Amino acid sequence: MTGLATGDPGSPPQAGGQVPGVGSLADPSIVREPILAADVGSVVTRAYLLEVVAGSRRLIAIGECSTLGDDGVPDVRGSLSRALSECLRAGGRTWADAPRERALITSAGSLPRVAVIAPSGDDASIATGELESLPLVLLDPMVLDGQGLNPDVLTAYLESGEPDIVVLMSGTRPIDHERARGAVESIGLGLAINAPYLILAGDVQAFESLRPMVESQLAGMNQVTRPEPQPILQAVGRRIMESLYQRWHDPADREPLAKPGGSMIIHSSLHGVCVAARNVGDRYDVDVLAAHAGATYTMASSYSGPINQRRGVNVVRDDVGSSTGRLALLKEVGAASISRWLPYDIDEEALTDHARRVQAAPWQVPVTVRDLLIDHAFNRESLRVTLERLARRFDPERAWRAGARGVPKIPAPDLLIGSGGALARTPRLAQAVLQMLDAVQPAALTQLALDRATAMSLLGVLGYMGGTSAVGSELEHDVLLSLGICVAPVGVGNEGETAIRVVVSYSDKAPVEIDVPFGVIEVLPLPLGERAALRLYPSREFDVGLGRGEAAAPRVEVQGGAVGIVIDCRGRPLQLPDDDAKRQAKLLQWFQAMRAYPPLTFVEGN
Amino acid sequence: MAPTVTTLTRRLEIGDDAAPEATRDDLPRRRATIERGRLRRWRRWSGDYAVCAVQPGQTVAAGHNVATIYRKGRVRAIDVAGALGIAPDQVLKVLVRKPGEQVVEGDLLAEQRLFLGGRKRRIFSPAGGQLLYASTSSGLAYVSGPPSEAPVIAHVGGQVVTVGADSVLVEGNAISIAGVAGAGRAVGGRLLVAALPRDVPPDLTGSVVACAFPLDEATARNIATRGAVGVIAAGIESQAMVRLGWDEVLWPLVRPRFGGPSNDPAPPITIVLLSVSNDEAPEEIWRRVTALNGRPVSLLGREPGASPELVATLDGPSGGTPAHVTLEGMRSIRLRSGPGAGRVVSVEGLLTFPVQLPSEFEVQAARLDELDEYCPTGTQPIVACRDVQSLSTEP
Repeated sequence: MTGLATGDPGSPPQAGGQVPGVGSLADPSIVREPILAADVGSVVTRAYLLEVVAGSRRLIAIGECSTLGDDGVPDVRGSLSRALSECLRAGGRTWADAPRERALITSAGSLPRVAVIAPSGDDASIATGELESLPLVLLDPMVLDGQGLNPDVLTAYLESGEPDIVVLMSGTRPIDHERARGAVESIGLGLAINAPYLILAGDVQAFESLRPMVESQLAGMNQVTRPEPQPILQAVGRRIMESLYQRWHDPADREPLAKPGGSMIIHSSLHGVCVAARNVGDRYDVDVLAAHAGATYTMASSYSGPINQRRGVNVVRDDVGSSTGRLALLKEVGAASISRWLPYDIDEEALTDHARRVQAAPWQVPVTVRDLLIDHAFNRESLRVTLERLARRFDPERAWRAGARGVPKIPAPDLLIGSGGALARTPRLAQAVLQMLDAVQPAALTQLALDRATAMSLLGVLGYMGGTSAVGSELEHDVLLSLGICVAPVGVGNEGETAIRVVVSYSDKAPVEIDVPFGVIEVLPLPLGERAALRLYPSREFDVGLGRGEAAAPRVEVQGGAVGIVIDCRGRPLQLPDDDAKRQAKLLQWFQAMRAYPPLTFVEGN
Repeated sequence: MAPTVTTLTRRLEIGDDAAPEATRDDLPRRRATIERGRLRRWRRWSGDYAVCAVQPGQTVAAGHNVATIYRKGRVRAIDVAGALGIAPDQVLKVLVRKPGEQVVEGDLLAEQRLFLGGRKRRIFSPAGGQLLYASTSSGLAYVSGPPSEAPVIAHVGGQVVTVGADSVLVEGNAISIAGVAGAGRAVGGRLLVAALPRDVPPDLTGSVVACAFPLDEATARNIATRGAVGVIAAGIESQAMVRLGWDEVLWPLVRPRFGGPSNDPAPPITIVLLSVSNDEAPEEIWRRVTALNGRPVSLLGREPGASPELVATLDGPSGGTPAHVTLEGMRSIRLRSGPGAGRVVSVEGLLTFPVQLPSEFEVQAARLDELDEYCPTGTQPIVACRDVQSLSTEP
């Protein structure tokens, strides 16, 4: 586990000043009170009312509105007012008796692009390893050898990557120090316009001779790491909090949420999602993968390994968000990658046109089923490319190319959590399940959950500040909806031949036995709150975790969910037929089996 | 046996929760809109420093310079040690100009005598500006170019309401035609209306061209190369958008920036689109645009805190009868927020509703039916049009 629990992302900033009226983030007195919170995103603003019910803090009401005004310009103050008013009204409260404790969660000003520059690959690995647990956009590191020694190459790297923060490692050898000093000069002098924040790390004495130049050219925009555990992580965390507080320093912006005499927490929503995923993993001692599809960014968070050696890796992409990143995604993966998820013909021009319309008005809901399907096709691909980026952290040696398809080699999760508005706002839960399964392609047995309340970031922030006592299991269940369990045998078989036999033994009715052929997805009912024993008999070509053809039965009864037991025999890796007609028929078949969409009549001429 | 396409389609068609498939006309979008009356417009800027040229209460015309912003010049690195063949720590010895001094392009920066002073190697400054720094680590000298300055013009003529550190608010009588997408800074010019591509004249110097038709690639290139400062168009052909590279300028990477402003690509001219596809201009809007033909107008593509629009300052104290965002023709709508959010309801009537928005004093609102459960007995629900989304024919 990383040092986040005691790290700086949640600490008051050392520089930039404490926001007046903002209480200490570590104040334990706030954890048991009702709380009024808001999550201000780039496209959507949400408000949450948490009350204490029978000794537990519960999520009572949510208000939601567009962050953008009618003119398309962000209207933070107005959207906060609208979302909070709606939330209070839904929760039966008025402004007069609204909870005293307030929390403001936001992604604005909290997602830096970070570049690591180091004299050697080993130094770069140290920095990227420390930073992998923070939600940030980590650019490919620049090593100061060969072409990296050319100041023009370095400047071009920084200008094209547009990092907000540069972590510069000093290295250990005198020649490393020389090269690092040259890089400092290039950053401090060569990037006078939009110079990034500079963090000097390693043997900081090596930079001493450059202090006057750094202080004159990057005044207030530099930091030297301190002697502390994980110094780079802490330094970047401090900078994130500084930026967050600077962004919300103007009392007018947060005025709708402020209350005289009351305290206000300000925190990063991205960090909240990461912490929530980690806390859920710790609480149930399971490996967790959270796939987050927001309007502006996508994120994949993996927490895996034994409880005391858990590795947390986060990857954020700010260019393929489900609303604002569609054109970029289309450019990256190509129209064929999007249209392969659609059960009807669509050309590149129509997809581009759709992407433009959504980017012009990100706060709109699809009206037709066709538009909904296009939205979901984009979501699948944006999650997939984000997961591929995550896989590179676990498998750095593998050659990756943009748009490459395949199953990312990330640790198989016990629990897959879907979060973000793009997944949470699906009209039917089965739609969210299908998107998650298609993007992640979990293998063997995986519990599925959805942040249906879009409050996972709040859950994480409360858990980060107050520990697990601030987030009771009741509140966790208010936020995370159990969808059920997915059984996905690994392997490839012949179409129509049985891939697995599943026997479900319910507590109150006769067992159900079902043979699921390869290429098919089926759902067996197991409602929320119910349990059943599973026995799995894969055929010779398939593996559910114990080897090919080996029968398996979970040691404990599986829990029900809002969707049920999903038996996904579409193969791992999931392969779509090359022929368009067959592929579209397959998709229709899967949608129908999951009852994911209203009856579709897209197939023409039959 | 796997179902065939035909059987599958039939199975899907007989489902119990069939939903009518709406037509393409139902696709919701932010509409181009018209405002008229006393409008307030912010001009905001970012830069290393700025000098404001107006004071509160002052009257300014559209196009008036309200501030000048200055940005640091680009810095060039010159490899002095490499070019002269000396060690980096000898750089300060060969410089003939001191760090901090101003230099002009071609000035001698450093020289190295060879062979007992008989021959010299010299380095001249490739650009004018300030010699910032010479590094004894890398052997580089850094020369900063002269700062650039850019004017910030008033977008609407009228009275300066407030002046801030990085903004000016001006209020005046004007008509605004807002588009759904745009790029580029605010520019001013005389409006030139073209109903067809062939109506675009050869000389467009200093003008803002309004096209009633969707832009094709040739017309867009002509407008950009014939001296126009901006274009407002009904729409654009998809292929033209791709070939012109306007996707990148109209929708640059939108992300919640961590630090300063992002380096968005600059468009060739200021662009405002009334729709993002191959559409003709809405009749009502185009009638208003045509009425402004030949008048001085401002066109704003996209700037911090401002949306794409064409603004024409009106003469006279009132600016005529305000014509606000219209809901005419809208019968079925979806509520975007507030009580009943997500519901689809019918519009019963329209009225003017005093809603305070950043840029307008009142908007038209819809009086709705079918929301009785959210309202006290005897009252009728009213929703501002900003909170509704059209599900029927666009006006």
